[in-house]
Amino acid sequence: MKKLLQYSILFMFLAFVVYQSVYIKKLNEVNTAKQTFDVQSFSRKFVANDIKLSVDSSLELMEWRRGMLQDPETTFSRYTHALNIGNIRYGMVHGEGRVVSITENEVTLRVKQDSASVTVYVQTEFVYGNAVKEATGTIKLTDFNSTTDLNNVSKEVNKIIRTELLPNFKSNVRVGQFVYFAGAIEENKEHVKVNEFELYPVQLIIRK
Amino acid sequence: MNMKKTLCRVTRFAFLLMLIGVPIACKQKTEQHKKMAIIISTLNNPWFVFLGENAAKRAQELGYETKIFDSQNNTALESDHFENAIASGYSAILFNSTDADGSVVNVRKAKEAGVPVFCMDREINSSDAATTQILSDSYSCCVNLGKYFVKQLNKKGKYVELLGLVGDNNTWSRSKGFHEVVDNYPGLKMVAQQSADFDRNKAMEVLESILQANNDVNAVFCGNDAMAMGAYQALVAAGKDKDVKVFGFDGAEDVIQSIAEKKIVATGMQFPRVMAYTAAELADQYLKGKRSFPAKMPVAVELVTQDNIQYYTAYGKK
Repeated sequence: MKKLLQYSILFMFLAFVVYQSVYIKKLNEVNTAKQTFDVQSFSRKFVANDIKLSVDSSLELMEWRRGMLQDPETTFSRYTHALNIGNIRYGMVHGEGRVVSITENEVTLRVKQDSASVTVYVQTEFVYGNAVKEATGTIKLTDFNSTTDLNNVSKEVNKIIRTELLPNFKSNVRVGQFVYFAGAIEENKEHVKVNEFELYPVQLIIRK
Repeated sequence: MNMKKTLCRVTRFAFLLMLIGVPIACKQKTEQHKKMAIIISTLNNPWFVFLGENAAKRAQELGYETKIFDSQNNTALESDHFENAIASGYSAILFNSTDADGSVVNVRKAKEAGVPVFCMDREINSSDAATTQILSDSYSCCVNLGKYFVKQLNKKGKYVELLGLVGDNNTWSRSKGFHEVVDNYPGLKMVAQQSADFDRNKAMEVLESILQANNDVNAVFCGNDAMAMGAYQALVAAGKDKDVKVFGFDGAEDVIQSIAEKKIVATGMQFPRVMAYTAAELADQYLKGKRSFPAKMPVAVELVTQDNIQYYTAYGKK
């Protein structure tokens, strides 16, 4: 009887320890708990705040061009940004140009100032990649726990541009119109472009 | 009483030993301080040979002895190399892993032994084991490759994807980047997706087999250049090299040559010299006392096509 009581107490003690040590949770609850980064909310705020501020402080395209021709080193260091080590950098520019052609993938603008003329290919289909995210210069690697979260910001921001900015523009733009544009461009320090620019748009206004 | 006297004598003798022994050990450690081990996943691939040799070259320029270890894509052999490096007194390890998960324990062993590890090119799935990880931004370049791929195929066609080693994070970064773009185009159909382990011969065999069931493929996206060359060989053998577009990733010599000859369409140019040099220089900074390093340092990868090939050479730029 005494032994039975002792074993019972021991069993109850062990059962109590095991109960306190082991937790059973549904897998989807654990996965949901891990996903703490809300990429959609972050990207919306980024578009509303960071991109807007970046456009407000951006260089006019022809001024950018002058900087790249006369003093590329200073222009790169002051007006471009990149998270990666290497020669590829991104900057935000704005300007106005006349529509010279429209294809399913881009709208081509001719931008003139005095005797200088450049071509801007406003991307209307293939808005992918890091240009818009990194051109603002506000994103830091240390802001994110994982590379996946960082890449998802690019993905989400680009999706907002493709689905919310571009459809209205594409359906209303015509050859001959003047368009105000603001957007990100990619430059390579080893071979700088000064006459043709591929623009990832963040703002497009068709002038009446 | 005798016990007490004996104890005093033993204590004095031990103290004397310490006084003599510690400076000798420190001097030995200082002399051993000047070695870096370079542990590479496989020397069967010229890209990794280039990575390892450049890491060694830069470390030697900084005043270190070096030795390159070949893990032969085998995590167990890699583990032996780590134990060897730790036991032989290497001061730092410049490391290219065989497996993103399997290699973590090796890196932790080195860390616990006080040997800093600097990962090159291949990521390990731990944010605090390695001192830092210098990695190509494969994902972003493959987004660019994906865009170029869609443009080249005019948004329609059938394609094959050859994946790399399934245990390598690069395999999935490249594939995800590519699919981020390509999957938005329903006219593009992936008829097969199979791993060829980043190996040229395996890629050739895998594609030969796929072509038997899918002889109307328009393009092949390969997770590295070795597989792109293997895929191209398979297409030549099948008489389809002029009809099927091949895309690779790395910037290896044979693919750069092939792009210049208008055979392979495009690749992603990595900069292994930048990664190797950065790893050696950071290791040197660590050994001179610096302790704060970012967990990851991404290196840009550039899209190389038949239109801009004149600016590039194998593993870098002209």
